[in-house]
Amino acid sequence: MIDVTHLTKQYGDRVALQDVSFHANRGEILGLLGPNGAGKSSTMRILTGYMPPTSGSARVAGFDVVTDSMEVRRRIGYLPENVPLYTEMTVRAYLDFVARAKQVTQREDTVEWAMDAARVDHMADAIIGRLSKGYRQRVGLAQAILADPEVLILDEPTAGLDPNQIIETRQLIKSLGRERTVILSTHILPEVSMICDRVVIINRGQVVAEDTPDGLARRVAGAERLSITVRGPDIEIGDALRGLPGVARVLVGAGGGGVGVSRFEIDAQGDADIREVVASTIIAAGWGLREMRSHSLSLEDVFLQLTTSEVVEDFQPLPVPAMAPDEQV
Amino acid sequence: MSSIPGSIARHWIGTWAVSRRELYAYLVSPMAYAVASVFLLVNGFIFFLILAQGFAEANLKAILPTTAFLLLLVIPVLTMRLVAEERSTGTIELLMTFPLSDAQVVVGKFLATLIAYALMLVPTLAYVMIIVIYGATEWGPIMSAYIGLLLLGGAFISLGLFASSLTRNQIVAAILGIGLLLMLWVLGSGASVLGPRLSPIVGYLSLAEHFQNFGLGVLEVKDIVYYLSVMAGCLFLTTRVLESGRWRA
Repeated sequence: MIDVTHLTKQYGDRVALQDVSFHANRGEILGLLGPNGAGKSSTMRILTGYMPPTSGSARVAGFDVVTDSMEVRRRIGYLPENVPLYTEMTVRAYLDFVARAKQVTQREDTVEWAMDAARVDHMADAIIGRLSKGYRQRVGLAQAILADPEVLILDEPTAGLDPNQIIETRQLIKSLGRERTVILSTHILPEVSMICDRVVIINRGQVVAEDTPDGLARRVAGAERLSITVRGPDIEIGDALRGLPGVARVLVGAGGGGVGVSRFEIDAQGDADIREVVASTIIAAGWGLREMRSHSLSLEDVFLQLTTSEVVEDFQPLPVPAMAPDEQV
Repeated sequence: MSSIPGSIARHWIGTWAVSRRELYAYLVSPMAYAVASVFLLVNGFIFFLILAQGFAEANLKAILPTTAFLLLLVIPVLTMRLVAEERSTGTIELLMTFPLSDAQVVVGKFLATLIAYALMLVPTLAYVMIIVIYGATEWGPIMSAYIGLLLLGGAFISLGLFASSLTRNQIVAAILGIGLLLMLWVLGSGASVLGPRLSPIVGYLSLAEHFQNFGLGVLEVKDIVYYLSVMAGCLFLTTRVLESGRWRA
């Protein structure tokens, strides 16, 4: 339904997207996940025909977004990031305009249906400019689904909503996604595992992973993160730990309680068990191993691993209770 | 492929959708009423001055140059929001991903403003009534004056729309629009100093030059063609600006 191949977008010298490829099947909800500025919005703007790519191509429902822009636009519903709406219009008048612009037949019924589906029917005659952020978001959604498009492109559909509205909106997207293809962007991880069939993780304009939410979780199922507290010179200890086989990443944090005591967070590569080798290395060097805990990586940790390219040397660990349980899952 | 009338009808539906929305925006915006009020107040006062001086002709000839100059100042204020506002609020992103061509968007916005402008001219029919009451009326010059006002206004609107497409700042759009119009207005006065070769060309380009005949009741093809080509040219340029905006987005 959606095919993106080798998409590159440059703004002057700045590369926003670099060789991005992914696809979405009919009836699939695809999540574009990535930190702010990763290129999610640029991808969506290209898919909707708002701007052309610098190179590469994208096809929606079999039509090229550049050469067959009109055919693509007839088949999509788009919710841009900041929900730009005509604030001087009433909800009904605005949706009526969208219905005309999209050449919807049976305009009145369609507008009523969309207001109903997006739960703005009781605000039909309110002026958009006076609506809360949550209601504007719903009007934006109503606008996107209005012409019953085959493809929905939603840029951060739950941004700025309160928890109840987020749940409602996710339910709405899920129900809409049954017959349609949906691409949505988000930087909220649980959202992806809750509503998406598949996830494409974008970082700095490049695809760093493409998988199902379960697949992503499985990827890290064996992987563990080790938290240790050690008395000794932190730089030397960090270097020693990084040199160990099976260690993917080491984060150093100050303050394990006491002078010369530091905390380290160590990520293992794959499902390597690094506990014993870490412990013996520290003891062999004559440093004081004060605490060691291991816990499995969460989806958040995977996301961080994939999207932070350089190792963060300094981090402030959350205060840990002195007598922490040994195993945390 | 569908028939030609069918495709024209479909184009028209989209264009009219844009026009309707713009008219809605004019109807609920205080700016449109402010512009119309200022225009009608100043124009009406000058019409009163002309009458008070004992103007004898039963047509609108005396007031027309004033009206035209006032329009030059107020129409860019009417057109400044057309594209600039959509750029600054971001609504242009949705508009340009609807199944509407850039030309439909531009023509739709132009037509809406032309209609709003025509509505603004309706109260000036009071002048005509006054003339009718006080004397035998020359309907020809009055008709041609209104045709001229519509053509002149259309040209002003298309240029204002073009100015609005160049920026996201409405004030800049208005100043740019007034500046461009003023320049084209005074071009005629420059004709005399530019020598025999340039002066006819520059004179032809002047917005003011072509307006004179309409007040006299003379409809000349070259004047009508001039205004229509200004409109076509500006609408075409605006379409290209929107198009190139996609590449720079």
